[in-house]
This record gives sequence, C-alpha cells and structure tokens, in this order.
Amino acid sequence: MKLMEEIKKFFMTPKNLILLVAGPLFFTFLFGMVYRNDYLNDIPTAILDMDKSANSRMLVTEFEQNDRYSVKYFPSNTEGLRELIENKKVHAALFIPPDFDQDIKKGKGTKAALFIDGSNIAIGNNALSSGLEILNTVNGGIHMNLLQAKGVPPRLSENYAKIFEFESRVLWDPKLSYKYYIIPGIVIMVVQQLFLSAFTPNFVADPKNILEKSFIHAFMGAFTYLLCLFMLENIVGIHLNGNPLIASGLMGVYLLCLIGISMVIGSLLRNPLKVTQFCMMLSVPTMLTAGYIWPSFAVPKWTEILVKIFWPLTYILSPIRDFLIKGRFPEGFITNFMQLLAFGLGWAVLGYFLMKKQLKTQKREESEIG
Amino acid sequence: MIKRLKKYIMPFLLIFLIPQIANILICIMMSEKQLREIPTAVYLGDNTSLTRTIVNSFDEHETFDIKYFVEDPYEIEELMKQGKILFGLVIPKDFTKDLKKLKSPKLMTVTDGTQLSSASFLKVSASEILLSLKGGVLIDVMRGKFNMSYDQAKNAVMAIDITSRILGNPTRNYVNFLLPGMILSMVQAGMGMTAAAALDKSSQKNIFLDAIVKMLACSGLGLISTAMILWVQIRFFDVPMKANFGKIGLLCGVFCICVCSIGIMLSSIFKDKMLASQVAAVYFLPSSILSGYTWPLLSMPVFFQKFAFFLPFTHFGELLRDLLLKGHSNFYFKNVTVLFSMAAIAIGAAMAVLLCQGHILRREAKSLEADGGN
Repeated sequence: MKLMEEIKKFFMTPKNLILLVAGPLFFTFLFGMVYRNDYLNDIPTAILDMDKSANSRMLVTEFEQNDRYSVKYFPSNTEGLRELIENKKVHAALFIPPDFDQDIKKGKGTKAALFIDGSNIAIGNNALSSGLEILNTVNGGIHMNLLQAKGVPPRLSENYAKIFEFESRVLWDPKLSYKYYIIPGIVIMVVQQLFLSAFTPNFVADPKNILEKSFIHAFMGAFTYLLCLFMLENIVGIHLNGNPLIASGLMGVYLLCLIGISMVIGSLLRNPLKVTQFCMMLSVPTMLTAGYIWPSFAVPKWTEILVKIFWPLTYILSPIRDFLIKGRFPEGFITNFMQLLAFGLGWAVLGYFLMKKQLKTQKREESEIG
Repeated sequence: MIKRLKKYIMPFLLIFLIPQIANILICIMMSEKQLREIPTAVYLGDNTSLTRTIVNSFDEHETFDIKYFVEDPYEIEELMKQGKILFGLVIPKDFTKDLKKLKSPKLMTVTDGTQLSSASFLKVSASEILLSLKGGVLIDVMRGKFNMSYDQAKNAVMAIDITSRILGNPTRNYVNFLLPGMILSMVQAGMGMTAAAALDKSSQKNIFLDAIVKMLACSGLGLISTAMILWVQIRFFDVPMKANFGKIGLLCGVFCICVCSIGIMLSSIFKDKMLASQVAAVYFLPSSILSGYTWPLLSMPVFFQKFAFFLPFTHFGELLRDLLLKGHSNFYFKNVTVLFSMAAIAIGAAMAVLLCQGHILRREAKSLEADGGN
C-alpha cells in the first residue's frame, strides 16, 4: 500500500521524471554526440620544407596522406611557422632543414623537427605516435634505396629494411577513441547525480516511507540507465559486449547503496535547495577520484581507502565499464561488490539515526512554536 | 549573529570548501603525474639473448612494469579481461632465427584500449622502444654484412632522425594537463549555482544594488578560491606558472565576474531558486567537456564547436593552461574581452529583466488598488 502511494507520488511529480528519466537520456545523447568522432584525426599541421628535394617531398607526402594530420599551411620561413603555432592555427608542425636530401645522399644522416602542442595530451600523444609511424616508414624506404644503390637486389633490400616488424593491437577500442573510454563512465556519473538531485530533496521534503521511496527512485534510475545503454549501442554506436540488463541491475544496487549517504546529506542540510546544490557539486570530484580517469594502480593506497569510505563510485565505475566493453567483470569485483554493500549498509544506519534525530528536533521546534 | 552567519555557510561550502578539499585530494591521488609502471605481461616464445634484450628494454622503461610471463599468447587477453594488466608483448617462436634468415618476423604489442589515459602513453612508449631496438639490430646487421662503420650504418638505417619537441607540456604531465581547469570548473559551478539562487525578489531592498553586490561577493569569494587552488597546485604539486601573476589574476577575476553575472541573470529570470540553481548546474557543469578543455573542439561536430563559444569556460580553461604551461597566449586579450563582454551582457540582461518585473509588479499593484477602489 505504502509502495503504491510512493509510486503515485513519484509519477505525479514532473520534476522526478525530468531528473530521473529525461535528464540521463538528454546527457547521454549530448555527450554521445560530442564524442561521436571516433578518432582525433585531421590535426591542423604546418610544414616548412626548406629543402624542396625528392626526399623532403616524400616526407611531406607521408604527412599529407596520413589521416591523423591535415597539412593546412606551408609557411616560407621559421617566423611564419612559429606564428602559426602561437596563434593555435596548427597543433603540429614539421620543419625540414636545408641540405636534407644532400645529407641523406652523402650518408651523413639528417634531422627533421616535429613540433607538437602538448598542452592537450589527447592531441600530443596522437600526433606523436603517428609521427613515429611515419618516421619508421620513410626511413625504411630510404634505407631500401640506399641498399639498392649498393647493388643489393630489391627483394633482399626490403627484407633488410624490414628486419623485424611490429604490430600494435589495441583490444576493445582499436581506434583509441574517447567514446569508449569516457562515455560509459560519464553516463553512470550522470545517473548518480540526477538520482541524488531527485531523491535527496524528496527525502528532505517528506522523510516518510523511506524504504518504498528508495526502491522506486533506484528502480527508475536503473531503468533509465538501461535506456541510456540502448542509446549508447544504437545511436552513439558503442558496441557493448556485456549484458545491459546485468549492468542496470548493478546500477540499481549502487543507487540503493547511495540512499544512506543521501539521507546523511539531507539530514544535515535540511533544505531542498542546499541539498540540490551540494549534490551537484559532487559530480567532478567523485568522477576524478573513482579510479576511472586516473587508474587506481597509480594512486596512493591511503587515498583510495579514504575515497572508498566516503563515496562508493569507485566500487562500480570501472567494473561496469569493463563489463560493458569487455564482457566480463575484472578480478576482485566480488570483493568490491561486497564492500559496496557494506558501504551502503553502514551509511544507511548512520543516515537513519540522523534522520530520527532531525525529526525529533523538528517536532520539538514545532511544539515550541505551537 | 549565528543566523546571519548561517546564510554564508552554503556559498562558502560550494565556492570554497568543496573545491579546496577536492583539489588537495585529487592532486595527491595524481601526484605520480605521469603514468608509470603500468602492469605488463610478456609472452616469450623465443628465449635468446636478443629477445631478452627486448624484454629488458621494456622492463627498464619507466612506463612498463612486467608482472607476468605467460605460457600462451592468448593468456595476455585473458589477463587484460581480468583487469590485471594493461599491456602485453608477444615475441613469437623462432623470432631470432627468422630475423637472421631475413624473414621479417613480427613482434606484437597488445594494449587495453578501454583505458585511454594509459593506452596512449603505452603506444607511444612501445613505438619509441621498438624503433630504437629495430635501429640497433639493423645497425649491427649493416656493420656485419656491409663492413660499415657504426656512423655509416646508423646514417643508412636512420637516415632521418626526427626530433620531436612537445611544446607546453613536454613530460606529458597529467596534473598540468587536467587539474588546473578541472578543479576550477568546480569553482565555476559553485559560483554559478550560488549566484543563480542569490536574489531575493520578495525583499524590500533595492534589487538592482542587491544584484550587483551579490555578483561581486560571489566573484570575490570565487577569486579567492581560484587563487588558493592555483597556489596549492603550483606550490605543492609543481604545476608551472610561466606567465606573470597579474595576467593570470586578471583572467581569473574577469572569469569569476562573468560566471557570477550569468548566475545573477538566471536568478533574475527564474522565480524558483531551485530551478535557477539547477539550470545553472546544467549550464556550467558540463562545460569542462563542452569547452574543449579535455577533448579538443576540433574533433567535435561543428554544432558543438559553435555552441562552445557561449560557455565562459571555453575562453578561460585552455587560455589559463597556456599561460601556466607556456607563459603566453596570443588569445589573451581576445578571450578576456569576450569574457568581459559576456559579463556585461549578462548583468545588463539581469537588470533589464528586474526592471521589467518591477514594472509589471507595480502595474499589477496599481490595477489591484484600482479594483479595490471600485
């Protein structure tokens, strides 16, 4: 009966539906579109070729034909090249010195300089790794030509140049896109934030039927998360290897484990506006401390424990992402899951006592006024 | 007195305390700054001195930490699924024999693509190691087969030596790249939400003066919080500050005024403080992503590139990073002007809305009086 009452209340409040259904779907769509381009391609690039020889043109062509670079400018001097970099018209620049060809032919070896704007790591790493690949290809070609000039047959010179090869295999996300990396985590964070923004003010406004209220909010959060996963797979184009139903079930459990800490926040702040503002502020720190952006093996152990005591996102963020993308939970997940349940229970007890205390104070204040 | 102080607890919490605590905690968590000692597995199908040299090169590199030697190459994928490693190196059987027979044997590197932060480091580091190893092997072969000196062989094998210079963040330091802007985006959200819920239209005070005072108060607190965050990052976590203090201070000040002006504008538009606060959160919170601070704007669809112009953080985050890491930016005056203009437009719009609302209220009051008279 109480459950029916809470279900009715939930659906009769449009704000709940906006926060717990429309909100996560909107943000999933928004971020899905932002990261829609798989790859960091077409990095604006400038080339200053001071040699203009066959070999320098070969290097220029390699850069022009590489998807990663979009060669947009050919300045005539170093001043022009520097200006392009400083005005952010380009994020990468190649400088080919004079006598480039002559030095190669004389067997002296030569140097070219690749400047990369490293202030953005995403651009810097991608540009650098492609630059290394081009260098490998061009050096191989020049080496083959040199050997042939020494009378080595073409086939044999190719074998020399390719003395050994290396293949780089990237599993689950061969294009190393932000899409697979960040969106599954952001969606979990968004559902968490909007769940807190819906549940906590509702709890503050009406602290009755907590159990029923928790279930309906957590169920709706998990259901919307399932819809978000369908959106990720069918609109954003993220291939999910894990079962979305299992992931949303886990999400439901996670949201239930947030109830206790929501009750603590609600009981301490006692004002829906303050509660909403406070909960909204948690998005960035909870995401950055959850071992998702910066992996937990690179984090001091004590900080990991501290985070685990105060916020539970770290228990599920990477495991759910791994499950969805790889199709399997990482080792140690069961322990994490048990810790999550313990977290939920511990904070629920604390939240319950704080709520009781707050209700008593409220009654006393009311009777004093009365 | 206590009641009056209580009023300021929430702004203090949102604009100052939460960002400061988050700043210290996250900076400590990322104090390694670069991803090092990434768990790695090796399949050594061919155990010779050459292959052992290859494995040693990886083990000695700061990026890799070889934790497992597996019996089967497929175990690498299994370990990755279990989350135990993020990188694998596969050296096939008869690698050395095939190399000597000039059969071009193939080494394989396997990277866990779901962890982009580590994967991009791993890919670059593995390429660097393997290219230099390949060069070394080729030099030895050239010297042996063609009687070349070391220099001759080196110049034949690596005819072009590309010197890569990474500008701004040469060590690819994650703290320098991510944290100044990310933490300040929290201060931004705190200021935005506080300002959006600041105006009390039912009070009898001069609402225009109240709006200006609250905007300046929020900006002031935001600026103090911003300065404190940057000081902690620079002083204790080695974030460089290459531009002068005044330049950075002016940028931060104009940014805080801009954000609070937009907050006050929202406060003037929405009657419900909660709704105004939520709109401010929706507008400000995703801006560290939408402004191109982490994922570059040039990779976003055109619509988002255009939309980003309307977010104050677009004109602040990247510029601040450039000032800290490079010491200068040709966009300084342009961005400061844009932020200042946004602030002026927002505060102007807020005044206009308040003026209209006042006018409507007075008209309603007059018509009520007239109705009462009749």
